[in-house]
Amino acid sequence: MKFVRVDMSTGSVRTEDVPEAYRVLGGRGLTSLMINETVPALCDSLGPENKLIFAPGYFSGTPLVNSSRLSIGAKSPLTEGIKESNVGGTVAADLAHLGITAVIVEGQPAADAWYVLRVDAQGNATLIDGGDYKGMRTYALVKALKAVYGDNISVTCIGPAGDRKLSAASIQTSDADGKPCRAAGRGGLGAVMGAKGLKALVVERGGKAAEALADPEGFKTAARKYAKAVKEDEFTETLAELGSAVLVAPINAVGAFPTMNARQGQFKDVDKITGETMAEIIKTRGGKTTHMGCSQCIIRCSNEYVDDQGQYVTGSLEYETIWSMGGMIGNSDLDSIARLDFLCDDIGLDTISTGVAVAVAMDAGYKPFGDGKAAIEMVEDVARDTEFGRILGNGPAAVGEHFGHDRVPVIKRQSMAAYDPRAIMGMAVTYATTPMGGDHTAGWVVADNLEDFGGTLDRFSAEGQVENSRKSQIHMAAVDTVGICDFAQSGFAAGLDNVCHMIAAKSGRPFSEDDWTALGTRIIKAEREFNRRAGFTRQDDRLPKMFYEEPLPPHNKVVVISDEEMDKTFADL
Amino acid sequence: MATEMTLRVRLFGTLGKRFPDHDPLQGFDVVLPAGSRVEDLLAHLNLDPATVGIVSVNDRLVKPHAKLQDGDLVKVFRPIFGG
Repeated sequence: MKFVRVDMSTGSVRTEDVPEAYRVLGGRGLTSLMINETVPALCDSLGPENKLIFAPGYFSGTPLVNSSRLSIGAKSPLTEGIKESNVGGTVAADLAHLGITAVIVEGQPAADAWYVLRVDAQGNATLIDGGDYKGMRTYALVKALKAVYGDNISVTCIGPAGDRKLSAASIQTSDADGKPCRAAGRGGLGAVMGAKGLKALVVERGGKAAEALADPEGFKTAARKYAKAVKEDEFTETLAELGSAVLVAPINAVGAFPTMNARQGQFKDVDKITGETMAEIIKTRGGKTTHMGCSQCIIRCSNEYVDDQGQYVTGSLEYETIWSMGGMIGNSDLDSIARLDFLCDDIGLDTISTGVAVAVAMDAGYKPFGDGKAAIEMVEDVARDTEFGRILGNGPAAVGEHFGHDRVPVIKRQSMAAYDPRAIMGMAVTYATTPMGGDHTAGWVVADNLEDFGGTLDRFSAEGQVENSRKSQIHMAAVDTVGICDFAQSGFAAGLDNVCHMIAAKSGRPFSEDDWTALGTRIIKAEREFNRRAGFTRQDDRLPKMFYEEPLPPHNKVVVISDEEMDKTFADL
Repeated sequence: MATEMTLRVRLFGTLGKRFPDHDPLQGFDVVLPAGSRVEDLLAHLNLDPATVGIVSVNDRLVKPHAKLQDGDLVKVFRPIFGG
C-alpha cells in the first residue's frame, strides 16, 4: 500500500510505503489526522504549506457494496479550519484498485503553471503539463482528457471557479458514465486544488492491485450480510425511484425546509419541485429516474434530468440542490434548478454554498426571490469572471459582507444545508459544533428528531440534543473513514459488529465496537485541535443570530440550545 | 347527517405504487365512513405502519387518532433517511 506524494514546487512525484501510524485508516480519518499533524494551522490555505490529500475510504476497492467514497482533505479557504469533503463516483475504487491509499499534493508551482496528475494502469503517477486546460469547464475538460488518455479513466478536477481560487469552488469527479457530475462540494477545496496548479487527477480504471484482504472469506461473508441489509431496507427502494429528492415533500411538511433565505419553513410552491414531480417530468421526457452513479452501487439513487426535447441537462439532481436552487431562492421551476445544478458542476461550484449565496443576494434586494433566470445569470457571472461573480463565488458570507446584509445562514462561514435548525433542533447542534462548519452530513439527526419517523427526541426542545448529535458525529467520522455511502448506512442494520468484522478481516488486526467509537472520537479530537490552533474558539461553535431571534413559520420556533449546552458537545475533545 | 365522506389522498415516496388509480401528482379520492380517523384510512389502504412516516391533513401534521372530515386533503409520507 502506498502514498503518492506530489511536490508541486519541484514537480517531483514519489511513492512511499504507508507508515505504521496511518495503517488501518482511509478516508476522513487519514486526511484529518494527516492534515492536523503536518499542515501548520495558521498557514495560508492557498499557499505552499497547505496540503491537499485524496484518500479512498478504507473499504474502497474491497468487494463491499457502496464503498467508493473519496475523502478530500485540506485546510479550507472557506472556513480557514480543517476540512474533509467526500464524494462518490468511481475514483475512490479506481485508486484503491491500484493499491493507492492516498495522493498527497503539497507545495506550489510558479504562478499560472497548470498540471494534470496522471495515474496509469500500473499505478505509476506522473505530473504532466496542463496549460492547455486552464480555464476549461469540467464537461469540456473531461472530453479533452478522454481524447488524450482514452475512455477508461476517472477524472477528478476543477472548473473555472477552482482555477480562480474562489472559496465556494468544488472538486468534481466523474460518475460511472464518465460525467463530472459528482462533487466534493463543501469547504472550497476546489480553490486549494487551483492554488496547487492541479487542474485534474486522471486515474486509469480497472486496476488489479488492491490491498489483499487478510481474511477474504470472512470479509465476503460480512459484506454479503451488509449488502442484504441494504437491499432489504424500505428506503433503498424509494431512493432508486426518486433519489434523495424524496426528502423535499416530507421535510417541507414538517416545516423545516428553509425557504427564501430561511424566512419560512415551508415553500408554497413545493409541489412543483418534489421528488415525485421530478420523477414524473423525467419519465415523461424519456430521461432516467434510476441511475447508477458510483462504483459497486446497489442503491442507484442517481438520475439523469433531460429537457423537453429529451436532451441531457444534468446528472444526479439531488435534494440539497433542489433546495438551495429551489426553495431557498423561492424558485419553483425545476428546469432552471436542473440548469443551475449543471452550471455548478460545469463551473466547479458547490451547489449548496452557491444557492445560499444567491439566496442572500436576493434577500438583500439584488434580484427578486423566485427569479430562476436571474439566478442562472448570477452563476454564469462566476464563469464570466465579473466583479459580482467573484463575490458570489466566494460564498454566502462574502455576499452578505458585500451587501452589508446580516441574514446569512453560515456557521464558520460555511452555509447550512436543507434542514432549518429552528424546526429540527438537533441540527442546530450539528451545524454549530462540527469542526467542518455548517454541514448536514457530519451528524444527520433529522429522523432522530421526528417522532413519526421513529425518533425519540422532541424537535423543538434542547433535551438530549447535545448527546445525540455528539454520538452521531462520532459515528459519522468513522463512517467517512471506512468510506461507506451515507445512503447505504442501512447496512448497519446487520450490526455494527458486522462492520467491525470487515475492518478486522481486511487488516488482520482485531477491531471491536469500542474501537469504532474510539476511531470517530480520535478524528474529531484531531479536527478540533487543528481548528483551535487555527484560532477557533467556542464562539465559533454558534449559529448566526437569525436562528436565535427570528421565529420560523409555520411553527414559529427559534433555536433554544444555550451556549453552555452547545459547549458541552465536545467539551472533552 | 352524511354517512360517508370523501377524502383526497396523496401517497408520497413509493407508497402510491400499489394503487393503479393513484396519480403521483394528484393522488386519488378515498371514500370512508363519516367519523373515520387517520388510522382507519391507513388500515383501509392496507398500508403497513412500518412504511408510513408522517401524515398531514390539510398540510398540518396529525397523529393516527386524528379525526377526518369530508373534503380533507391527506398526505402520507414514507419514513426517511438522509444525508
